[in-house]
Amino acid sequence: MELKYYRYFAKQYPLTVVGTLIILIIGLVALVAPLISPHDPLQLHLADRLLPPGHTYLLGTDEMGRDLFSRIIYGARLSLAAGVGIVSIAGIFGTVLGSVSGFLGGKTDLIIMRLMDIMLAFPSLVLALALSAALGPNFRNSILAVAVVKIPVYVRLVRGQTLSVKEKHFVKAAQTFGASKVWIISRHIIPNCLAPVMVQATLGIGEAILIAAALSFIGLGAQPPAAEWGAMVSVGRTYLLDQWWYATFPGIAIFITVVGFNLFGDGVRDLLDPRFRH
Amino acid sequence: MEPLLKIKDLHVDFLSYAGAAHALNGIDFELFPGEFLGLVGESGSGKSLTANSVLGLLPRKNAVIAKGSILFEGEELVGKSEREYQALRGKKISMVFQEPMNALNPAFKIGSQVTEILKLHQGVTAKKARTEAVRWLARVRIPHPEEIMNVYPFELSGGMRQRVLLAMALSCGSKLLLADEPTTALDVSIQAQILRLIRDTTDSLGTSVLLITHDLAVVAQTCQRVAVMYSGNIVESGPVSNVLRLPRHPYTKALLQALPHLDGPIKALQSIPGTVPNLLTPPSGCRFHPRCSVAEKRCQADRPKLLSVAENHYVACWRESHHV
Repeated sequence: MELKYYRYFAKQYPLTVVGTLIILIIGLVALVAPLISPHDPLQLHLADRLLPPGHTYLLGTDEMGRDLFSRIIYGARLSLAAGVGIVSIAGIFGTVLGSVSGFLGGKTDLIIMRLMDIMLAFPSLVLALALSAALGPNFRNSILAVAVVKIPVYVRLVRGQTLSVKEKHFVKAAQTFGASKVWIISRHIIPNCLAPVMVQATLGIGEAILIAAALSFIGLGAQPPAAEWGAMVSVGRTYLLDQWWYATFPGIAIFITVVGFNLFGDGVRDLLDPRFRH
Repeated sequence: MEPLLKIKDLHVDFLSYAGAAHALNGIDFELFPGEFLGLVGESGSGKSLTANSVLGLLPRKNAVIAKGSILFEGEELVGKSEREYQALRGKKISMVFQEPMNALNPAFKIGSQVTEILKLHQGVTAKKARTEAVRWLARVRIPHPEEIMNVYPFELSGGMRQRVLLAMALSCGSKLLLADEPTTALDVSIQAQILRLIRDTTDSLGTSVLLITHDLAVVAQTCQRVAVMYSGNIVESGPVSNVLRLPRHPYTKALLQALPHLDGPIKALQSIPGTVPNLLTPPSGCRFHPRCSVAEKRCQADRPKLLSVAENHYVACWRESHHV
């Protein structure tokens, strides 16, 4: 019965299955990176600088003679951490702020929502750039910066959900049973707003990875010698004409990961949307 | 005997740009311990608003208690803080609703919702709350209560959900149950079951019930006393047998004439001419006079008081001899 359902789903949404597989593979690679990478990603081989893809170095080496293949494998860890970390932080804070704003209404709502409007008035990359520069350029701060920038998306989403959920009878019933506001928000409002948040979060991981990589590309994210895809593309760019592999392979890694998460996110949305359910 | 709930001259206004709408216009009634009082009236007459005012849950921010007092166990409720109300709700006064389909949180199992309220008001341990919850589910005649504890609300029928809600409402030892049309959304055979269940359980617990309904048959079956509301006023109140058999107020008479009778010749049902008055511009004097078949000059000028016409039977009408 269960198996039949999965097979049916795979037939109905082949791209979702592809996306899920990509994510699983990348996740696995990140998990067992020390076991499968042929070299230490930080080990310098000064004699083997900028070698093309070949036997010893599967995808070539960089200007310090570090193995690109190993660096890309280790880079999966950073990118996944960035993607998941950003949407988790933004999702949690956004959900709390949005539900409080929608449930309490009045002045609280006004203040929170106008703050979010101000944040949304900036292009997200520009605001992330400014925040990240202000916090100091390192990987952790770049994640925090992007997370903060992404909060308004979740606040608006959850606030809208809250406005409809709080009119439901079970919220009024909870009031007649003597529940406090904190209790009603955490127990009755938030659990019933979560489905669209999940969809938004999975769809947002790809974009989050891209922005984090972009910050590293500019030099505001992970600092050398960390094996971060965006940073690798950034340095590799200078060698693009003569050593095409240096910037290309990390770029492909970013591309595949983001596509994987986007396909997966689309699938989650279809799955949680009752109109698509069969 | 001291009344459990005593509402005196209660005025509730809805403030709007067009002025204040007097939705409750001086309500007086008492509810004694263990009593089953029916509150009847057409839509918009202020029945639910009365119940919500007792719980301190006025439906909108623009609704205010303008005047009057609500005494519960001799204690004034009007002007209590939100925190004081929270300690009262579910513990001393609880409510069951018209819509059992939506009154349970769809995201949690029945068990966790029933134990939640026990933990909140009685501060018992999770384990104790669970056995207590099962006991309550059994008490409202839910078959296999142990299994129902692990079931989500969508798996239950409306009647079953209303039983769960009744168990939740009574589980902390409420002295007063406000039942706001608890059977309207259920089909007729379940209605009778739920009403009997409410009456039996509250009888054995000694809980007083304020049953809000627009169904006079329900009142006749279950209540000891009834109060009839019209446009924010109580127009008649008294023992069910008196009020339904020998109604004194023209509105009560008209309501009873609008009911079909099983015996006697088949006649067209009578309806009450006109519509419910606009609360922003209510009629002067007695609010029922534009629709009343026996209205006099005096009815337009002054509002009649609710006065006794027989033992425990009160009527607000100028045509009653007591008002001369």
